[in-house]
Amino acid sequence: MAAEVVPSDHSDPSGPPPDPASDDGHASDASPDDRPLLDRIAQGDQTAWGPLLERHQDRLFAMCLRLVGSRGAGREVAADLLHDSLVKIIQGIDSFDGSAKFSTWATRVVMNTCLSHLRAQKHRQHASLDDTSPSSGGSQSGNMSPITIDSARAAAPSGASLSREPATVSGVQSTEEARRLALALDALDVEQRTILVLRDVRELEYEQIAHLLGVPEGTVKSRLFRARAALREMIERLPARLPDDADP
Amino acid sequence: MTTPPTISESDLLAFIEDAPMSPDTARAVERAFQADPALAARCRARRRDRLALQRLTAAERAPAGAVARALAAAGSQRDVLARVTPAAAPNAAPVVHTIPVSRIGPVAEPWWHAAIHSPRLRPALAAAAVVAIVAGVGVLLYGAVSGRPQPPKPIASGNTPTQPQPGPAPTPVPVIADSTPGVTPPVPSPTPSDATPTVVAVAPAEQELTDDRLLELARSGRLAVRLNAPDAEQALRLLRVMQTRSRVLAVAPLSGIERSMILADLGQQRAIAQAAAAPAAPAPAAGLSPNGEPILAADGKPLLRSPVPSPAPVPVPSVPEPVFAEQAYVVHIPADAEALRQVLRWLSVDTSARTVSAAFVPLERSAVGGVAPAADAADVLWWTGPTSTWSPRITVPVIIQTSP
Repeated sequence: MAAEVVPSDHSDPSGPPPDPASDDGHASDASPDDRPLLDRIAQGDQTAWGPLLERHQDRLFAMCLRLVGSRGAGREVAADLLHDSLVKIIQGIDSFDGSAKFSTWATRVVMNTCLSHLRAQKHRQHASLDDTSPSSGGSQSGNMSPITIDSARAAAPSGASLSREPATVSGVQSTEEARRLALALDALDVEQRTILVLRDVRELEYEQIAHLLGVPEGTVKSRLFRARAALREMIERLPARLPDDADP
Repeated sequence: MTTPPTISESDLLAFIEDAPMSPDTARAVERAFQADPALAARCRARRRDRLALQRLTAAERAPAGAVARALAAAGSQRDVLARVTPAAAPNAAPVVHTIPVSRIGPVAEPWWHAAIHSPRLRPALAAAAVVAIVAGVGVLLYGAVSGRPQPPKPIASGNTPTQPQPGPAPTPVPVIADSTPGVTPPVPSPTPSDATPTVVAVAPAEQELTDDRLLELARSGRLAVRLNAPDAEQALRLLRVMQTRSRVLAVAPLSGIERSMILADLGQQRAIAQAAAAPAAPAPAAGLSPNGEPILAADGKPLLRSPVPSPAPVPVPSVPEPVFAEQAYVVHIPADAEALRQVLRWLSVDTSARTVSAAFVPLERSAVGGVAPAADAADVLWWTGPTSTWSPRITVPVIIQTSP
């Protein structure tokens, strides 16, 4: 007997997007040392930028990489976007009023930079699949197109990303899983990929994501649930065996 | 009859993300999984996906030196704007990057200001302007509609030109019927219409390219880089490497009219330089056609007339030597002289096998915008934000020339 799953109500009783002022520290993204560095920067001490940015650069780079995709020259593009984002963070620090966490504000800068890049490139992940017709979205599994060997080869992540497997994950099976995951993530549409990146890569809380996207928290959960379903379905649609050649 | 357990997406999401759940919710989820094994399999798979994505993310590391490059790029842009030299000593007082506020004093109202804003004079001035415009348009239309022919040029008696004169009519010269050779009538002073057209684009003066001069040229779009390489592929490789440099904001191919204008300018400069080194062509003898034969009038008598006087020989390139530029690019860099010098250093390679040289080339006219084109709304509206967000950039075209 199948369980009845009640979909989340988009008009969540929790109401409108949360007030940015309520964005206080959270354990998953806690950076208690940011405040002293930010105070030094506010006083004109430029030497505080180094430790502040180095603390967040890896996560921000991973965010860029997952948003723009790791296929082909994705790592170079992600590095460029990270550079642009860091410069904007440095130059736009005056617009950071401190009501939200620095990490959340920096994430917003990176997200806007990456999304602007994707819009400029007219990047459509669905175009990499067999279905060449423009797709209006990908939140529903019925709109997904089958993934073939050719499209999988074209969307395969670059070999450089595979060499950066964590030391705790070893074996051919784990590498293959990582490739399938990266490939499936690249194939998602921008909205779904963005929310997954914010949650799993940037490890933001629901209210932080809601604040960034300007939607209620219930909508965040609903979109996240559907994005995870889409990711799982995309992984299952991949060929049983990915081509060994990871370069497009 | 037991009702099937009802759970929400939020409950399943909490399970997938290992979020805290109330005991009741946890039991409801467990019962739902027992009732629907497929649902349980899907949720467990999505939980594994989440953990795998987190592991994949944890392995990523930002490129080495990313923060330093960003600080350098941001700092140079800020210093250019604020003209503040960073403190050299580590324990020096922190530099406050602010722009001094200029003082604007009151401006005296000009005498005509009261007139044009007077309630009595304004309508009269407007009517006068309308009348003037209508009259001007009427004169133009009258001249176009009437189509009055141009009066014929005066022709001196006995002077029948043997060849049609292109362009404006020449200045009438006295005719000497006597066939005595060598008699040369006084040469009238040349008129501007008789003057041989000179080259418009004159190569800029060879002045030392100081940092200020470089910046001035670059900001006005009149500075290019000529990259001489044995082959285009090596030059392109250098450009790709330069793209990774921190001071270089972007490198993009240049095409269209901008490319044509730059190539035309470079071709003109080269032709002028070569023509200036060539000896001047001798002036034709009086009374002789260009092929050396005497010019005869209608009655068969030699028509001695001085050639159209020309000024001192001026190098006139008929066709600019083509520039063997295979590709053209534009480089967007911060607006400071150091960035310009660095571009030159990055593009110059001197090895035992090959030599690639780069040099600044001042252009006569602006081919590309001195300021980099806007890429998004932020670039267009940069001036509306705080000064700390200003990021002036300049665009410098790079022309690749291969040595044959």
